[in-house]
Amino acid sequence: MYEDENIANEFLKHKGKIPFRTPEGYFDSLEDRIMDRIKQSKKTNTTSSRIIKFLKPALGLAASLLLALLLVNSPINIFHTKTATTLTSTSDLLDDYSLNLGSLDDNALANVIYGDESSTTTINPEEVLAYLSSDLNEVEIYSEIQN
Amino acid sequence: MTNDQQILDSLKDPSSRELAFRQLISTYKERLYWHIRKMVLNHDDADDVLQNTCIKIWNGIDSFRAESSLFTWLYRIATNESITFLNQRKRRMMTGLSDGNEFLIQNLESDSYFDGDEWQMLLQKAIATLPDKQRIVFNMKYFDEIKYEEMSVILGTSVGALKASYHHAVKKVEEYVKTNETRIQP
Repeated sequence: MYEDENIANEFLKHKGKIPFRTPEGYFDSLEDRIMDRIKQSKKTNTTSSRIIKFLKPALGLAASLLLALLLVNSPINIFHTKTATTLTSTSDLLDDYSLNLGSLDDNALANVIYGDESSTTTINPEEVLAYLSSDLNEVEIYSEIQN
Repeated sequence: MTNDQQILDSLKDPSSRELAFRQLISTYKERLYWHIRKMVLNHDDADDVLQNTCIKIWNGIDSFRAESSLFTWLYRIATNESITFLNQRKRRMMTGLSDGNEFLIQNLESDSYFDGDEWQMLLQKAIATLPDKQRIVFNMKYFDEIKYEEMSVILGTSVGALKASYHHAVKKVEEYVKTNETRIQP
């Protein structure tokens, strides 16, 4: 068991001693391997920078064209949308005005208003006459209709 | 003219740059390797980090301003590269149960180039449980016997803070050894 004194002794005994080793001959070829890696990383950097250098003008041109297209297209789109909206509302109005109200009779007008032909029934003039000549009050008329 | 100054002068000249860089690596490779190895513990990882460190040195050699010594600058790059590597590894290994440093102990146990006895294994495991900063300070003081003043320049921390870090680290290591001593036969 390690007492405090033993621990202190062990500390002193191993001070400065590194308990590791390297593979044999590791340090001999280290410079060459490092230089190889530096050259490799330089080559990678050069290749990627060459690609970027090659693509730069093309990308610049494409970006400029896109920008020009957007700049030209946006106002046209806005104007086109506005014009289309105006035209649509104008034609709607024209359609509305194309209803020639003067040529409509009462029934047709009622059909236009209510939109249902079946709801309007033709009234027989004899029934109107009978209704006017009978001296019925509202309750009697209602009971007549029900029967 | 010092050897470092000669290397730096040659590095500035494109015609002698590669040769000078080889000389630089040749001069400092072992010290940098062992500094990194004590941080990442495993040889393969140390080799990776050392190579990355050298690439950083090559790319940044023009930005070296000689405000500090060349070795201090190299040491700082190696320290930063080691910390970056450890953080990446921690993020990859971190689970709900893991505290982030378990992979270091696994690294240690699986490393076929560990050359110490049981006490040293226990000590390395204890060091692996320390926070990164304390681990760096402990390694630099205990193994490399670097002075606090020099450490202060390398790590950009005050001497007082470094002393406190080392003191805390020693206490934690002792505590770990006491708690886990039954695993080894004295």
